[in-house]
Formats: sequence, C-alpha cells, structure tokens
Amino acid sequence: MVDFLKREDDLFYFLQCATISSPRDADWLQRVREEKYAISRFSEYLRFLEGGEWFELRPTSDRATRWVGSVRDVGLEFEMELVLKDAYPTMPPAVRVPKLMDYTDRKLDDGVLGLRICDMHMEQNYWWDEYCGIALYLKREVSYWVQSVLHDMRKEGWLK
Amino acid sequence: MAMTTLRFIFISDPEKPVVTLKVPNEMLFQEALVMAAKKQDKDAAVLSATYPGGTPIAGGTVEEISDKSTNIHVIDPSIVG
Repeated sequence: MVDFLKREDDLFYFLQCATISSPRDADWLQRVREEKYAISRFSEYLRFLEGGEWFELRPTSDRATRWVGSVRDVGLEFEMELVLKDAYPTMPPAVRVPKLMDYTDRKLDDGVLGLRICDMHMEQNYWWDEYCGIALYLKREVSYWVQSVLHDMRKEGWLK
Repeated sequence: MAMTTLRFIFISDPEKPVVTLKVPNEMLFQEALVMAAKKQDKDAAVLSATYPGGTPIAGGTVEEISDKSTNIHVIDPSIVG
C-alpha cells in the first residue's frame, strides 16, 4: 500500500487527517471528527509538553464550517475566526484575528471574512495538501503569523 | 559545567536549515539564539522563537527552555506573510 502521508516530526505531520472530504460531501462529518481529534491531540501536546495551549477553538455548529476561539501570547489574548469553505480541504482554511488585522500588511481580502491572514509566504515551500487540517494550519501558519505581527508591534512600540 | 544541546530550526526559510549548539545550562536563551542567528548570517533582533508547537518563548535560561523542548523553531518575520 502506498503511503502518501508526509512525515517529519518537527513539522507536526502527525496532525494530518485521513479522510479527504469537503463540506458539501456526504462523508464530511467523518472529516469533522478527524479535525476535532487532531485539534485535541495538538492541545494535549501543548498542555503536556509546552506548558499550555496558545489557542482555543470550537465549531459554531455540527457542520463545523465556522469556528471561533482565540490565540494567546504572553499575557495577551485575541479573538480568532476560522472558516472552511466549499473548496476545503483542497484550499486551506481562512482565518482572521480581528483585533490584529489593522496593525499589519500581512493580510488578504476574503469573500467571507472580509480580511484574512496572509498565508502565502509563511513558509516558502507550499506545504498544504488535502490531508492537512485545521490543527496543522494553526501550527504552521497561524502561530507564525501571530508571532510575526506581535513581534512587529513590539518593535514599533505599540505593545509593551 | 552542565551543557545542553539546542537545535534551532529556521522554520520560515525555504530549506529549513538547522543550527545545533551545545551551550551551558546557565546561559540566557537569548544569547544562544544570537549565536544560532549569527551562524545563519541573520540578526537575532528581528527573529522570533517558539517551541515546536508554536508556544512563544518568553525568555529565561537554556535549562528552563530545554525543560520543555530542545528543538526551537525560529521565525523570520521578514519572510512570513
């Protein structure tokens, strides 16, 4: 059997999903279960190995195409919204951190969210594929984005 | 003197280069980051470091940091987004 899943521990490929299914597909809820499982494993990893979770995320409905939650940095917390469009998982999720969008150019127009975080250059190798899910996206895009924006804000003196 | 080996992974660089440093436990993490950045010809002041899961590293000694992980992900915000 051919194994298409990529493995590289440092890049957290253990958070991949197994079912390729979009929100309009019949087996979408299986993908949702895998997404929730991967997020819970990621949370567990952070809790036990890194002293706590830097994000919190929950779906707003059973179909789980829209999620809300927050991201945290040292002593700071910002609301986060995440949307899975019909093209997911061919296309990655769209994420917005409303309070940080005005402080950075690292953003893109989005038909659903208005603005979303720019994930086009987070890593110069395009790493996303249909097995990647929300947990991996949080790890490999959102965490970098938040770090980079807050780093710039501190450098400008906008944050203490 | 007790030493720890830290592995700095420059995760936002295309080739994801890794700098491995053996440093004293009492050394400040920021000093180790400066040494790792120099090996990559980068300015540590513009870099940001996290644990592998994306948790920000607030500071402290090498020993305190390595209690959680000896793998450090280094982000260059000038590349990101």
